[in-house]
Amino acid sequence: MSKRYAQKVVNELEDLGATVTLGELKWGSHVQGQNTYYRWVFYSFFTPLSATMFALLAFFVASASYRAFKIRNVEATVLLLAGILIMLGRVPLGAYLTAWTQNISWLSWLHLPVIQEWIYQYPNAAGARAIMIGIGLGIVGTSLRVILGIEKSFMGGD
Amino acid sequence: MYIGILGAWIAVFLTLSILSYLYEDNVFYKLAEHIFVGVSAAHWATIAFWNQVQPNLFGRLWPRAEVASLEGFNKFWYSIYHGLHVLFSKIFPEDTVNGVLYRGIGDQPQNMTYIFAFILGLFMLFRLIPKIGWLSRWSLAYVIGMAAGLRLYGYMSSDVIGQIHATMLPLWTGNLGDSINNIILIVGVLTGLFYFFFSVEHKGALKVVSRVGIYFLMIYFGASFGFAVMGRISLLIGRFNDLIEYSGQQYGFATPILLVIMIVVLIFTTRKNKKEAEEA
Amino acid sequence: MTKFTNFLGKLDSLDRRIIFLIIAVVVLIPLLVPLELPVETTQLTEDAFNALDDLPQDAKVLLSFEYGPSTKPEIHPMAISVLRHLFSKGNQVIVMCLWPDGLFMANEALELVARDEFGLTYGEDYVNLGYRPGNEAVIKGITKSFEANFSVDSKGVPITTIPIMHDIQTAKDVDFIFSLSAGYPGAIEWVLYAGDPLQVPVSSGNTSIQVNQLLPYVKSGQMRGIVAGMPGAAEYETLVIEKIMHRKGLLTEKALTLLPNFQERRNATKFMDAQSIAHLVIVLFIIIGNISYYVKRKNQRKY
Repeated sequence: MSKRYAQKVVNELEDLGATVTLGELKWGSHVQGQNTYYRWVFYSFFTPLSATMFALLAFFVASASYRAFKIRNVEATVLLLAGILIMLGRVPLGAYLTAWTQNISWLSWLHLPVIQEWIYQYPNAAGARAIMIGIGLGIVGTSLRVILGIEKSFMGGD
Repeated sequence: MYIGILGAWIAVFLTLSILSYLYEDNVFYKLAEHIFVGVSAAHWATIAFWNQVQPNLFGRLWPRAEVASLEGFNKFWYSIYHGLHVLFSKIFPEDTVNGVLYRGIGDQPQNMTYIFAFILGLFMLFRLIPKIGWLSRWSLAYVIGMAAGLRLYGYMSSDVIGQIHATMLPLWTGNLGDSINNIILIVGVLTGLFYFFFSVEHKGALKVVSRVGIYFLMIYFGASFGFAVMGRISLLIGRFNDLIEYSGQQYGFATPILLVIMIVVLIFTTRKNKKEAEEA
Repeated sequence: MTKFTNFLGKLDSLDRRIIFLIIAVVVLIPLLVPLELPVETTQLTEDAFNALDDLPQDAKVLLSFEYGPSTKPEIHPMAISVLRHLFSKGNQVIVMCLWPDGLFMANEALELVARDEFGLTYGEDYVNLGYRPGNEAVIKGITKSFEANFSVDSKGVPITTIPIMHDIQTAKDVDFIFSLSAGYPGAIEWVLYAGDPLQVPVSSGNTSIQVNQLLPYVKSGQMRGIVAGMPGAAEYETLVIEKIMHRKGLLTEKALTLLPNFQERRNATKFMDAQSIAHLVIVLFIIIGNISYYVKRKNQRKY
């Protein structure tokens, strides 16, 4: 708040019998303090803009799923099935739709969350680990090249 | 209270402006986009300066000290501080307590090695001046060298060796289900890695190995797609929840009013553009 | 039949604005009319929960905020649930931020849970060390010295004067590291530069997009479970209610009085209905898109 308004509030409080001391906020504390203009701008401007920019992608993901996600070969089919099972198995609706399988012991593996969890923890984890090791080796190689001076592209060299 | 309502109206306006892009590119979206760029840049700069540069850099070069007790090099050093205080009194404060003059920022011990960080930081900013922009390469070299060194050890230890170690699983655990799962993990990792191995031609038996690897990778990409959809929908739910909250009476029915206004303006501008296009 | 197949073929070139409208409607309706579908917990979320639950009462947990407003709907409910979980057990929490926006998220979560709900004392029960730029260099730095990297906390108070930090010199002195992470720097950096070298247990709450990248760390034991996206946040909220309610004797008095509040304010759980329907609709889009694509191709071959 402005100094003049703050002094006005202090005067009113002192009229009511309170003991009030007016101090200036340390410069830099405006990014920390509550009820500061900075915080108001953060929550009124930055937060909705930032959040909505990312949320916009949900629509484009849906549109891309409809238009571009075509089963043209076996690999695409595997990708699609994995995606669908993860999407449905991860949410309560998937569990709700296949809850009936839990009552039949030999069908209990058909419960969507069970299928989803298995795919997630085993075949998917294997693929993720392979990619992680590959990327890790790439980073180690590139870091060595930078340290040894072989890689100079970041400095504008060859 | 009123500032809270104003904040809600601004938040709703900006949210709906960004979402209006789904209809077509329009003036609301362009306005919101430009505001976003400006606010983001300012926010990052402000936070970085007041949380790091001022307390941790200047605060270590010039910690708070009693002026009368300064001697030797520090007397000269703090006279520089005084000069900076004259120019930027809010960033380099001085204060008097019980008649004693203090200069400096914060209470951490003085550490003059931070002068190198200060100089390298200035060099980075010289990139904006073409004639001395080459000095920024020194700062860049330091940052990249440091990052390369940090990552070399970290990724080798955790990503490569750690993951290879974790892949060394028993093929038979006594339980059929666990054994099959372990075999799937081992086969998946090996075939997935082999897919990226181009030193030998993928033909014959190696082609089969490579194809198995592709399927494991496709499962990974499919799961990643599923998670990506999940993540984006979650963010959309968050925005819609805020819009619903701001449509209430306590916020002056911000959402429905602004939504109607925007729809009317967009319909009007679309018709106007269509008319102009037809006339042209 | 021909009319129907022609219609299916035309669906392939549906205006994308209709798809956007359908998505908006299917997300909006469950938010206005909740279905209250029950949330089933998964193994990895339970592992993360149990890892924190097994900590002794005098344990100190380092909670790192690496997310901003853009990923707040996914991670903020997790942050609040984790704080409620830890404070209900009497654990002390040291908060730090590697993202500048994380500072605001941390302040918001701490104000709600530590200050308003539990009425805890800043400096004794919890502390917010604030934000430091430097990404993994900050993590590397605190493995050597907290004081060198966070000489003052977020309020400018020297950390040597803060009671909760008295026996914390390096990251090795904390009992657990929990990262609320939306990207870089985040959980990966915590595992690489703090968890593995110092052998301090690490877990994480992440956005759905990042979860698959972190799974190898979870499977190898480098991370103790993971709270994955908004479904994970809903699962964690459910676990906090279910498991804590059954162990009333172990809760602090304050936590006992707050239990009904926790039950009511489960934000991520409320959102799961909308998430479920949206996922179903997207799956239907994929199926319909493929059907119309094949019908269109078949019709084109005919002619």
